Amino acid sequence: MNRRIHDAFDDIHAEAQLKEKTMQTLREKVYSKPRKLSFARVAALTAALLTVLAFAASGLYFTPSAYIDLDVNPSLSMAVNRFGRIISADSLNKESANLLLETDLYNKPYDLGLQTVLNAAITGGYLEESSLISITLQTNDKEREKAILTKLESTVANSLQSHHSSAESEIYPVSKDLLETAHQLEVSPAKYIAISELQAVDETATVESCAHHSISELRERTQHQERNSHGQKDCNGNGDTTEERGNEGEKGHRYKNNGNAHH
Amino acid sequence: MRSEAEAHRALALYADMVRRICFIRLQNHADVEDVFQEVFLKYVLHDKAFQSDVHEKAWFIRVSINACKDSLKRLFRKESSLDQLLWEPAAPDEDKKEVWAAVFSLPPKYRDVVYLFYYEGYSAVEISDILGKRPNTIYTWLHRAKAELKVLLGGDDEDE
Repeated sequence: MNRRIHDAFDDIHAEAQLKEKTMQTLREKVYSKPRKLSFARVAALTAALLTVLAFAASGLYFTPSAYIDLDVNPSLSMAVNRFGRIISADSLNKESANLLLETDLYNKPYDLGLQTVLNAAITGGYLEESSLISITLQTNDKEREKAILTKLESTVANSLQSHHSSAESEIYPVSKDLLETAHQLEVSPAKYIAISELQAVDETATVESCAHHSISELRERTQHQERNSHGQKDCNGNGDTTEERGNEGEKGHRYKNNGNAHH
Repeated sequence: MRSEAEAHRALALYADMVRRICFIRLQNHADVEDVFQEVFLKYVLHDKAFQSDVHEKAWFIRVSINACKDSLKRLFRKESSLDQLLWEPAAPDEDKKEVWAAVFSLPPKYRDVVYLFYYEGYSAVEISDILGKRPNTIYTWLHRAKAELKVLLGGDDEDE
């Protein structure tokens, strides 16, 4: 029986086409390099761009340039256009759906919109449960990224100070892939990362079972599992099974804010 | 972020293993392709160094199993069943079909353990480390899986 089972599995291989498609996907999503452009091509592209801009000026307003996801529990995602205005806000759980019914974010500057949501979350008692505000930013505009992150940090600090809250916050950029994967699973990027870290040490954890937990709760559970697995060991060395927070396609550093001081 | 050369290396080492885990968990080739690419994308974006090849392989096993689970939850797909599988490039012979019928009659978590034990050659303790389960749990799963497989496939004293 052992041999039969072994031989059956031995027949299963990754097809060459599957491997090639995978490398192609990796090149497109991770390893793509900018092409060198000739002067004629640059001129043609510029002309085309000006034409498109002329026709698309109004359309640009409704095109997302950045996504700001907030996870307090409530969890929501705001699409921001290149002018810094919120053009849509989607709830990622029931609590935020209720919150969005009570607030009007459309066309607000993103910092004002965030302030509105935070104030509603704090006065609604959501922050008492989790004591952690996780905010992620996804934008392809890397020049604006740092400025937006700084503004988000000051907005959060001001909100927490005005409510005398000692809650902690974390604000960091994420990749488009991470954002899309998280939204497909109907969770915020920060929660997706926390769930992924838990899954690395708890095989039973799934997105569905973890989505309604706060990020703080998920991280506590991960730490608990890590402490337990330290006692068993050791296919994995020092229990180094947890994917470090922020390495699922992210770059950049995190802003930490304890609500009492602005850094 | 890992280099393209590292991605090639990982594909060479782990592609078949990831493919087998997807095979025993997912319904069709489209899902397999999605999860397979997702696993290697996660690998190249995983910045933390692995302590050893053993550690790296264990990471691939865990991430592959979790990615299969999330794929099924996300798309509300059913687990693999023998009738729905797409055999590529060609259907197996009758003997192997019998083996697969037996394997797919097991719960998904038993299939993982059967694969890791019978094919990858891990011990129950090693499997418990990889999957983050108690050794006794793995021993129980293995015992039950073996008992069911023996009924369906027969076995001899050497299998004990």
